[in-house]
Amino acid sequence: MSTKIVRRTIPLIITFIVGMLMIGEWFFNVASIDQVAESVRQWGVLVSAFAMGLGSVNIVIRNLRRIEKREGTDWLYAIWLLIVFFGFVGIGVGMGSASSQYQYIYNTILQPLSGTMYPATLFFLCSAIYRTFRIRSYQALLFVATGAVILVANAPVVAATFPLLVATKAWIMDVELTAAYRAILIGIGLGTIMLGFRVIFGLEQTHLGREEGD
Amino acid sequence: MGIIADGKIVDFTFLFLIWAVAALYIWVIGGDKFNIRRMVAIDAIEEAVGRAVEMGRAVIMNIGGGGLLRGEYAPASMAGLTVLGYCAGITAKLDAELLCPMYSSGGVETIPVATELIRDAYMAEGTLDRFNPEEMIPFLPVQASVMAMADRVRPAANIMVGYYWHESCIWAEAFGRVGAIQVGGTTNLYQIPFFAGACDYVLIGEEIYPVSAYISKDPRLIATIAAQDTFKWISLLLLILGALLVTAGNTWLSNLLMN
Repeated sequence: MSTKIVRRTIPLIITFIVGMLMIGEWFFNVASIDQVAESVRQWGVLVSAFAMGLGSVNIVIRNLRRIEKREGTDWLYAIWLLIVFFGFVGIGVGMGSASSQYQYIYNTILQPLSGTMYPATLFFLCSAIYRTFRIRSYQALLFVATGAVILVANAPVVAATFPLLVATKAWIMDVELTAAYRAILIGIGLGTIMLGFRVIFGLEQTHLGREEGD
Repeated sequence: MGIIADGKIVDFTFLFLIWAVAALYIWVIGGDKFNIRRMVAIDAIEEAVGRAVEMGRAVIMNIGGGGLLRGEYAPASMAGLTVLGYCAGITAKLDAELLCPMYSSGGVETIPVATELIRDAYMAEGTLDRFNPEEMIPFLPVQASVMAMADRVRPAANIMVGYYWHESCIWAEAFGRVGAIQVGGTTNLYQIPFFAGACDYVLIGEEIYPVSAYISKDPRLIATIAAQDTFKWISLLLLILGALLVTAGNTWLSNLLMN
């Protein structure tokens, strides 16, 4: 089979069939379509599991290369990463993900470390606000003025002293912001429908990669 | 119980109409009758890659963690992959270093697709010898790893198009601090303001979808964007009409759209 059939035609045919199947499942009351669509979704989960394996292999190869090169101090972290990686996988596979050892590592190390990232957002938000609130144009001035009203009106002492600010904040949030969000949301909805059309009917092929001479 | 599920008759009719109008624009009117406006953020990608070449630093392209299996996030990831293919083509042509960190254990299925896209782009430019998937497409499963990459690599450009959650803010700030020129785009409503604030160029919501039409200038793709715009006007008219009718105490239109 030629490369074009394997890399273009077959994926486009599969996309069309699966796309129409999913639309059929959503709109029509036909039990057989529902069953086939459910099976296709399960295949998707399987493909994802294979990709996870690919990602794990990538982590191991990258870090082994880093250790081999021994540049800077990164390679020391690479050793630690591989120890933790194989240790965690070993315990998970050997003792099961429900074992107390696996749960201990997950609950006392991984979860607290992941949770630490969320409060860090606060500091990044502050610096983002600082950069965003620099007045370089009249639009930025409007942006700062609106942002200032929202920020100040959220402080209880200001809200108690200047009730008009609270009403202004409520108007900005309920009218201006909601209207803008809904406009963007309608655009996203229509854009998604049209992207679906392009993908299902094979007009959009960028995700299938380029061919020599493209 | 009819063949069409309850409450989805209007949805199905609208979907059929949108597709019919798109087909009409493509095959009857012809896409060459329509124009697509300039997209500054997409034009900036080539400029950003050129800057990276001049500075001898890398370009980072990231497509977020939405993945391709969840319906609400997959379109944004598809758009991200389109931008990735475009970006890889430019880096291959201009001899710039490209890094595409794949984030999130929830979106790993994008790894093989991204790998193939980059490989194809390098092959098309005749620079397949520079394609090294292990180095170019690292799997970094937590947000902090991408932030560490920003600090370690100090790229000249950072492009983020796809579906993002709170990482939009921390990554945009992390890359902004190391002086990278940034292009950001997402369909997650709550993250758009962060990109608007922290990135140099931003694609707001649906703007991430017509990238392939803008890049390729394919009349068929441009015709679908025109069909989308037509329905934007129809939506606007329905909104105004619905607001007027409800204000007058008539709920006919809102009841009809609920069917």
